[in-house]
Amino acid sequence: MKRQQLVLRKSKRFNVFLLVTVILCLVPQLGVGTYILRILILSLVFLIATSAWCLISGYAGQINLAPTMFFGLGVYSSALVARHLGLSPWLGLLIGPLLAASFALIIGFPLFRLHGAYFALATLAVGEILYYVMVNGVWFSGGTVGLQIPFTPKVLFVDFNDIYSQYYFILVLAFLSTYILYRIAMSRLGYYFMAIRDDEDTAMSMGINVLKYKEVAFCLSGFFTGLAGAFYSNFLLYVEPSMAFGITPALTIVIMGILGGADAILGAWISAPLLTFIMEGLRLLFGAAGAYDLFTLGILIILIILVIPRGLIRLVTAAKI
Amino acid sequence: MSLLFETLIAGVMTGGLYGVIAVGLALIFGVMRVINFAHGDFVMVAMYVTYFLHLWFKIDPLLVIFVPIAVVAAIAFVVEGFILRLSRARGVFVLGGKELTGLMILVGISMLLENGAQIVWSPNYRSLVLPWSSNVISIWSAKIPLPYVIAFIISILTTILFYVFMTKTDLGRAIRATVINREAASLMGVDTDKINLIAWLIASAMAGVAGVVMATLFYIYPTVGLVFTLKAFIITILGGMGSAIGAFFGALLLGIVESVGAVYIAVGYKEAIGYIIFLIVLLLKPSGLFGRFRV
Repeated sequence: MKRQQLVLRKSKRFNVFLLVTVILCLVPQLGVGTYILRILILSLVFLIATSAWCLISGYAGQINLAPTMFFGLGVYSSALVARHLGLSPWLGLLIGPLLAASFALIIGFPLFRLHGAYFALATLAVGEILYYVMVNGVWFSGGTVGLQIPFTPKVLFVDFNDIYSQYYFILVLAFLSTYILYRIAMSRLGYYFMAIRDDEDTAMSMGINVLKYKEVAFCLSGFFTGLAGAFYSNFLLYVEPSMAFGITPALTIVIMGILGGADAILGAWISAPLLTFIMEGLRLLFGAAGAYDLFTLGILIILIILVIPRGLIRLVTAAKI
Repeated sequence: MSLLFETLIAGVMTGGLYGVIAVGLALIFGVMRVINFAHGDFVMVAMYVTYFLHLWFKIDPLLVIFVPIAVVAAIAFVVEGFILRLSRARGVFVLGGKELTGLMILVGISMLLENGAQIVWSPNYRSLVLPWSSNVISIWSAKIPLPYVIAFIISILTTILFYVFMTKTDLGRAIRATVINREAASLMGVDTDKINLIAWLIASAMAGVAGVVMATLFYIYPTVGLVFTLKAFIITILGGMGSAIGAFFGALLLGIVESVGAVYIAVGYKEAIGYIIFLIVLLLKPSGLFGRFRV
């Protein structure tokens, strides 16, 4: 493709990103209830995790089936900081990402010895091991019962007492995270990632240190996913193993990534709110216990992959606006 | 000593059953390079069908073992014959290529089956109680529940049948040829599309067999399939992906490790031990413990 066309298409994606952000900024001014805002906050949390997933899986081509390994570490770091150190759980926003990134660095060395489907399965195993550690480590994690997080509204100069401040906080967080990830993906680093994805051997022969850049992508992905997780538990004020390390959040992130377009970081700005609202609507329609939402999600995944496997963002940018 | 012996026997017996599940997964991966995320859910469906057959008609499930097998095979036929084939025919893939595309479709199928089961049959735990459920057989000094013995015999028979089919029949040879080299097999006149379907039917039939036997041993609930899927993943890595017989030995190993770990380390960490072994094997020998051995 000609470079000019490429740049134009990228800029179109960026416009979509800005447009959605502006809409999301205006939503609280429309006088919507707290319920809608809560859903939007949840979708923004998953949006950050999804964009981070796209970096490692969409750009660097290493399919991470358990992004929850980072997400869960973020989720638990907030709770554990509050529980065992007696500090403000908001400190998790600092510790969570760093913990997740260092975990990514360490676990990356063994994991990146594997390729393709083997790598994907191994990530799943890592996620499951962490899950069982949290289930069984009752003395520090509370086991399946989970942990409550004390509500601490005041952090430095911000007061999180009302939902609007929480909403704008996560919106800013999501905007900055995706913007940083987007810039990384557009930079030289991003081209290294794509080279590795498209042909590892060729990338290596061009002088790209494959292991190093996979690690970089993995750490960056871990950092932002951990950030999302740390906010998640601060928002819900409660943690337990299956919401942090379970298979459902893991698949939600992966599906959002594919729905938006795995190789488009900004695709999450369409897919995350859309999917969250669809799921929430189904829960409203059929009741939370009925599993209708996940059933419909299953149908949706199959349809998406059969009809638009390259993601929604391409449909939007292909349209003449 | 008797405890260790009983633990080992129990491990081998559940391992044999895991083996029947994992062999199917390995077969599908070998033929199509697609990881069947819904494999455990096939087992789950077979478990439910077995349960309801017994509930409604009061027949011993082992006598009508073909009904659950047929139901699961029918699902597999739809999955491979229509959905996966359609996605291949469209030729547009999710990033990461065919592997990820197939995997994600199967994730969708898995969610459909799991949550469909939850909607239709409720998330309650059920258990199948048969007249011979509580019988015990004494082997040496160990007391083994009869259902475990029957489970083991059936899984051994199924595996032997599978082995003979793969090594002695033309169709089996064609499948093995496809596993080894798809293009070459296709050039030699093997209809690889048909082989895909046959592999799916065989794998799902084995999942069906495992489901019938599992129903007599385990609680039956909608999400039970995920447990089996994840175990089958571990086993196929242990045995080497694409190596079906390797998968069977990997399963025995996992069964033993799990039951020994549950008794001597902690029951709660039983599952985690399996995953840790899985990671260790992946790191030291990614081609599997029995990597060179392909059937």
